Amino acid sequence: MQNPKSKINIKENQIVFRLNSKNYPLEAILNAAYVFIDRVYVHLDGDPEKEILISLKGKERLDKKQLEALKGEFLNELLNYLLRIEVAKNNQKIREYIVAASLVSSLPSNVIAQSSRSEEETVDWREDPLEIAVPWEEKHAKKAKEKQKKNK
Amino acid sequence: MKFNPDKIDHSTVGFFRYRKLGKEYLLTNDAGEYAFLDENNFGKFIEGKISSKSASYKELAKKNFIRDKINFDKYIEKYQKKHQNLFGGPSLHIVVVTLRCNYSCVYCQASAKGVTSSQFDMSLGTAKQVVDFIFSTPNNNVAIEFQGGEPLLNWPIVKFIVEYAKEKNKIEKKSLELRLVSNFSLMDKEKLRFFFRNHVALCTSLDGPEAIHNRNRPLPRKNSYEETTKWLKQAMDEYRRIERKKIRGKYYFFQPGALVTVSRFSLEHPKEIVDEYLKWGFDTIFLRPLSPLGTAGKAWSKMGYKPQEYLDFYKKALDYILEINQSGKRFYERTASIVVSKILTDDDPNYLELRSPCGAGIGQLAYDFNGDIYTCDEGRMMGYSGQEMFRLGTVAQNVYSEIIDSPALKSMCVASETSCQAGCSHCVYQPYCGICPIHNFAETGNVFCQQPNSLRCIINKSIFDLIFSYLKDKKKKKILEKWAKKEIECSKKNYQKIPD
Amino acid sequence: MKKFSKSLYSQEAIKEAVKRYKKIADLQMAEKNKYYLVKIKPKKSEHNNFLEDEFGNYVLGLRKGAR
Repeated sequence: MQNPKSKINIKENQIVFRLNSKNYPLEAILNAAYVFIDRVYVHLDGDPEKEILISLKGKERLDKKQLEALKGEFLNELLNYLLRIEVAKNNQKIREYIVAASLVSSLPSNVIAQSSRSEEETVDWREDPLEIAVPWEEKHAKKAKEKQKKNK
Repeated sequence: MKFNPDKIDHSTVGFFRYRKLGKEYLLTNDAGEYAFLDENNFGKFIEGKISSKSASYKELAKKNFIRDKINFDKYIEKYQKKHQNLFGGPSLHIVVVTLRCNYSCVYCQASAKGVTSSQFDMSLGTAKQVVDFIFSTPNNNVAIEFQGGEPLLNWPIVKFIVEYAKEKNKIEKKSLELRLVSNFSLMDKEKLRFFFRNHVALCTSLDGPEAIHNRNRPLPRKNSYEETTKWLKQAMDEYRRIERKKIRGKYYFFQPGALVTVSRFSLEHPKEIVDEYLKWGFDTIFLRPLSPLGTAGKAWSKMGYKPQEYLDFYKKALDYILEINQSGKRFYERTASIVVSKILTDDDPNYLELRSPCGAGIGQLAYDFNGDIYTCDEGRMMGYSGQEMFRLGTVAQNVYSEIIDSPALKSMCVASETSCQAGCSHCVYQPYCGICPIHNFAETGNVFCQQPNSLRCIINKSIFDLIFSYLKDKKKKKILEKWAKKEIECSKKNYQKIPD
Repeated sequence: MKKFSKSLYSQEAIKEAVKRYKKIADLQMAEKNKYYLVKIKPKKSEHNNFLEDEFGNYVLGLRKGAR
């Protein structure tokens, strides 16, 4: 992992560094930042398409070494989130399948039967709501008449 | 760090969440399986280079962390079992028969009224409507739990509900459990006999030895500890008599129970509090942290504490309890029991504060003295702080389908679904943890909370860290396995058909 | 004055945060080019040193949080 250059401002108790958006997607940066908000002030700037500027400011007074260590921790957490995002993305369909299969098989059988029945019973197929049985010529003659009426 | 996300082997790495504990990585997955890997093996696992002959690989494969070895039937079955409680509907019904209370507990979250304020008693008509409503809910398991104020201040209604519920159950034939949560100061022989005859489980509050208990739970002009323990002793004696004579037959009698609330005054005395519970013959203690709701919330600066203070107390108490177990005596800490039952078994104890979504509305309902229905007792309490958003309806005007369909209830489900919350969705403890949207609301004014800052998150995470570290110790793990088994057994025994 | 890049912070999150902070600060929100600007004046002087930063964290938390 790269170690981006950083700028330390002791007076402001702050360390600032830049991350290339191609290597570090915004989702990972936001997730990592979220983990830190209970103990440091985090501010983001920049362009998610190019480069993000991360500013970490201690809630307690920190020296230079501690600010550098904070940056190190942030980068470690970023690495964690890169891994988590990849793992989640790659296993998304499997997880969706497992959850869906678990929940469906948990439903009472009368509920499953009812939901499949309700789809069937919406319309009596013999009424031919989609006009499947209507011949092409008849259907188009109907449509032409309707169009004439509209234009009048 | 010894892994490279760019080198993930997508064909072998199944879904997992993880956290570094000490020098090892703890992994968990959606089914609640867990595994520990050292740094080296963690890196190998990510890159698909862990030897299939190694013990680590075999464990990972068995627990469905290896993507191309997933046993879908087993995974689905376990996931389903872990979430089976979501479909039943509310099983716990908290009935607040009165707001009146004779105590002045420093941490009261019940918005108690004075003993002469009888306008805050549940009426007979409302009580009947409450019971009718409870029996209209779909879950076959029904637990009616009397709370207050002090429920015994409205003894006629408690008696009525017990009798009416049992009468109704002759037709409904649900698995009915009745429970009383009381300070016991107003108990007498007639009431005690009634409760035992009708299989009502009894529970009181006992915060520790006399000095701590009295400080937390003052009773004007009396000794609160003496008033509570006088009847606790009688209840325990009666329970033991039934046990000795095996009077119970096929029905389960509940040993009288007690709950601790850990206030600032308790923090220096973990061992003394545990010893007090041992002295009274309890086999369980539930070391719950103080909740920043109600009176406690308002007086937090005086009686509250930082998460680390509570955690130090909890660890000392738990270590002491584990020593007691190692000496051969069985004694459980309930938080730990619940957590290990979720980690070590395929079941779920359905503890409503540690499940996702939480129990608000879908696992429990709370009925106020006037028949108003709330998502839970905490929601009811928020109503007395001027926040009515957790009120779902009333027994007089609403049917169950309207209650379960309410936007407030749905919001609670969304706000407490851990896989949807920032901070929780990636957390290694997500399969075992739970969110309380009402605690979030009390802390931040928002049912959705910034979890890393939340009191509960800090406490829960630390307790999970502690429990998982104990699971690596063979002796401690053996004890915790017994606790896990007992917790599940108790959760299944809770709903026994009580005799007519 | 706190500057929030429009491509990194949502207007919705900032507005929500402004609403929440109204009890403890006087806030004004504006837009300039690619930024949302929030002027924060704490009602209590003892909050002067950190309220702006806390506000920034709060917005970040809302931005990240699921809704």
